[in-house]
Amino acid sequence: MSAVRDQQEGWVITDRRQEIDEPSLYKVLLHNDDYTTMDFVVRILEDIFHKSTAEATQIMLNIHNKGIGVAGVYTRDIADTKVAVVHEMARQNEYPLRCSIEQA
Amino acid sequence: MISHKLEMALVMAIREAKIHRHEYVTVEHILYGLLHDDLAVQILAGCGFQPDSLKKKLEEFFETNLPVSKESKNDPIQTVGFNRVLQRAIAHVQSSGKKEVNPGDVLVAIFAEPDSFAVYFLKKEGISIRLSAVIGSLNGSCRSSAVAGRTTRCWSANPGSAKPLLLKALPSEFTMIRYRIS
Repeated sequence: MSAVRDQQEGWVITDRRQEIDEPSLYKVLLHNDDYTTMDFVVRILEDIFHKSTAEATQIMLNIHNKGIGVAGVYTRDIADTKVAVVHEMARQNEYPLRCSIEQA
Repeated sequence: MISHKLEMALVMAIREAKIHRHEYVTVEHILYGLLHDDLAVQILAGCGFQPDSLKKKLEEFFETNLPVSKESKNDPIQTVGFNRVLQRAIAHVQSSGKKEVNPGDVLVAIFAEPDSFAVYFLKKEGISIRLSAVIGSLNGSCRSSAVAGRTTRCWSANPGSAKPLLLKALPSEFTMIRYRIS
């Protein structure tokens, strides 16, 4: 912040122009659990993240083996929406599948 | 509740998403739709924007960053950000006692979206946009778009001559300007 004495009218306080970075993208992560079936995770990856069956299976196995898998990279708004959709779909099917985002 | 002009802008936003088979209607689509509205364009132009260049940037963004839906019959879904922006604008209008949400209110509401490319494109053009947008939308609500244009221009080009009457309504997070009341 800087204050500048305006010639006639009093004080004008302005923000100095800041560097503005391009917003970062976000990874949508799916987390492993012991109750959600492999089929359901593959279906989520196909329906919501538009993966081919082969890709979806590979990501699902990643989640199964490593505990976590990247389902896709999106803008913040879309990543948030995907998380909401995954949670909604999991809840409807009574699975405890967890989904989160992380800065890419 | 929602003014006719705003409705038109939102229809344009959703149409754009539909035409390109975008899976989602995002905050950026709202901004794109607002570029078809006179008041919003006037506010933006008053802040020194080139609506055409903003439009081009948004179109590029749509092409590179948006997932496309495979089945053409699927309607685009509103993102959580899209809904938040509209809810924020409606809450603002309700709490200020106005009857209708106009495009200016939505423009202001977009600014509270963190990490959005819409805000990024706007901020990149200048610092004073949010304040000017507020002023513009306040004036716009009085249905005088000519005043909106004049006020925003005054404040950016020659702050000394702008009227201070609207500034007390602004939250402290805005860039602060204090005029001596004459």
